[in-house]
Amino acid sequence: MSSDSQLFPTQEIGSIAKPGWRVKGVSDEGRITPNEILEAEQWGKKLSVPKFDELVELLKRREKSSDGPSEQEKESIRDWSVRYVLSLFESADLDRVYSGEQWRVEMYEHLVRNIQGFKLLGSVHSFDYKYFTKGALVSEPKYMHPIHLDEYEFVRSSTDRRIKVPITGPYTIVDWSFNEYYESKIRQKNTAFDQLDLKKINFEARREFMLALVQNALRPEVESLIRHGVQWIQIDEPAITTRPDETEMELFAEAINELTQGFSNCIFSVHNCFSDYKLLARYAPDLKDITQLALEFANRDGSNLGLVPGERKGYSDLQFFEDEGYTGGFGLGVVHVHDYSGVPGNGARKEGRNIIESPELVRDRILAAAKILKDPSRISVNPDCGLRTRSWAVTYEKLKALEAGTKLARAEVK
Amino acid sequence: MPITVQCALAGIHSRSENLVKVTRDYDRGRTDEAALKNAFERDAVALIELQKSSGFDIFSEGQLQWQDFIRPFSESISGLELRADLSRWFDTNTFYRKPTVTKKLSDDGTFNEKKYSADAAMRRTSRSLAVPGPYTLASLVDDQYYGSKEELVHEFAKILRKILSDPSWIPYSEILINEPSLVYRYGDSVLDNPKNLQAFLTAYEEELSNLKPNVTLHTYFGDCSGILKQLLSLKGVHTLGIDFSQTPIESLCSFKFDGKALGAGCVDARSSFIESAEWISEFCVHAVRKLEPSGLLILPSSDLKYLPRTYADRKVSAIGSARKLIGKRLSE
Repeated sequence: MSSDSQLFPTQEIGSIAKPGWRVKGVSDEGRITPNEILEAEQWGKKLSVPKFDELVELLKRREKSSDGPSEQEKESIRDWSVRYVLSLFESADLDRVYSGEQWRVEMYEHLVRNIQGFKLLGSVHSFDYKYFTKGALVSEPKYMHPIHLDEYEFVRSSTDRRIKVPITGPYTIVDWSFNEYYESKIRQKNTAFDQLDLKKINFEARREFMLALVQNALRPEVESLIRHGVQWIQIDEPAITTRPDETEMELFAEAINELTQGFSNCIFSVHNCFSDYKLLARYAPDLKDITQLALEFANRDGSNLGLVPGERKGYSDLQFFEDEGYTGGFGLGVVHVHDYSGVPGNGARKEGRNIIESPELVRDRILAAAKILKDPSRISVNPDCGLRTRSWAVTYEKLKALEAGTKLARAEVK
Repeated sequence: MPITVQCALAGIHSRSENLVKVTRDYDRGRTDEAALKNAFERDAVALIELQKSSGFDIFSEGQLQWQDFIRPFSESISGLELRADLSRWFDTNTFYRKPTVTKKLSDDGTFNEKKYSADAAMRRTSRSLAVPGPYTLASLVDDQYYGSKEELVHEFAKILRKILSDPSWIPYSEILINEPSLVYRYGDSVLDNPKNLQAFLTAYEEELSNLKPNVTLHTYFGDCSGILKQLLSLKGVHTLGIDFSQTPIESLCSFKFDGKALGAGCVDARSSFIESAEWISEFCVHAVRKLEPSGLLILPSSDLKYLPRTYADRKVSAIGSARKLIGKRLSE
């Protein structure tokens, strides 16, 4: 049985793939197919989702209907997708859970659509045929209304497990946005070309943007969540260390401290992945209210079993944090979340474009980390990042391996 | 003395929302290759038309089909193997597929077949194309064969010479050799490693200094003031491109551009703030008076792919309008 107080508590990190019936079910053009109904039925049974037959009936009605879904039907389908995700996490026996971000468009757009001052400008090429929507700050950022509260309250009413609410952090929002408002404001003050330093201007504008975003929009949101009972907020900051610059890292720490200062009765953690941990480690002790850093490690690790440093090279990066005097906790990424193109070692197997870690490999990763950190109570266990790019079948296998491996590690440490 | 004022694009342009949709549909099997090709062609033609109406006289088709700035090379240089995982493209929120060097590099001759698009719209025009320079290529691959950065830089310079000497380059009057890695402060910076800078200078002079088209060596994503002296002495570089969003102009004032043109990358390719034609022209006039170049090429600071298409296009228009103003101002 799950318990947050046991050694090596397990947690999810963020987004889970939206099922086909969830995507099409809320689209005016999408037609539900028999396969999607079957998918809902099979996963409902497998995960023992309470009353899942009500969803199946709804989807069957949608399959036959030539009209688009009503607002009520869309809402109901979104609710069901959260219930399914919670059942997925509960069935895998994770200790700390959330919604798999099923109600959100994605981590950036969801937030900027709900904060006054942003305008979504259009698509920007990310790689190959993949794009992201980029917004610009065009006026002072302002809080309009609670952004995650309904989602949290729905999750709270649907599970008994401990809840950890992910929100996108200020550094990432600013880094992924254009900054028209503050850039033009500061440029207007700097008209002499002899003193023109656009790099300096852009940084000054960036800092003003970040601090205004924290004060005017993110702190009110955090305050509202805490007032309604949220006890753990995970601040997602994938963009940190993208600009490997001391001033940028100082700005990140300043923004996080401004965001979290003065709140009691709430744990704050930061999630970051695919990043430069040597650099992050230097600033980790400066994050005054951050109790846990949830980081990706499996991606940079080997997949042979064993505890020797050569096998567990991904976890040796923890030493950077030790060397810099960080004494907080870690959310230890122990399963890979992206496509895998290599040849797995004896602690994993390959299935299509996925690597499936064995419980024994998860165990060894946790034990290797515990050895470096010396105090095993500093470790929680999670996937490297959200598993949204994996199918539900693969996600489930990975979470089961994560949980089983954690149990093996607990037995070894005891 | 009057100087020539021109303008050009500096790399991959932004894809339109329509092209984004078609490429997504293609990726998901919802449309075919012919529709994809048409969509790329339409986007390229629209960009060429925009450059014409904005007053450009060197035209780029936008390199819209390039999935990342080194991909056409990764796919056409024998000895490079594309990895499946993604690597971040400098400090942007965009990614590229890093190739691994697995054996001695050689050109397989296919790059020059790939570079054309919108050929009909480009007929009888002066063309420009941006390619990654040897130092940047050597910095962005995972070398598991040479074991020496100097050797790898030289090897890429040789291959570029072979590619760029092909007769198919005759319609190109301008090649931008883009070298962000030379000035990017992080990673294997030449500022911390003079040996690497020397390797680049030697490879460039030995292999690339006699190319037919005008060469703009464009440095971006970093401050070039620390290596400007060496770059100004490079033979075969007609224009030296500077990213003024990273390099304060006053830090360059002790240098003179005698005999070289200035590529003024003063239009920030990573900001949706649209510089006015007035501002661009004033900035360029100031730069010309301070640095005394032999000519001026107005550029975006880097590729415009970091902006949504409508914003990238507005920057192109502003550059073209600024060019008209600069001619007048310099003669005042």
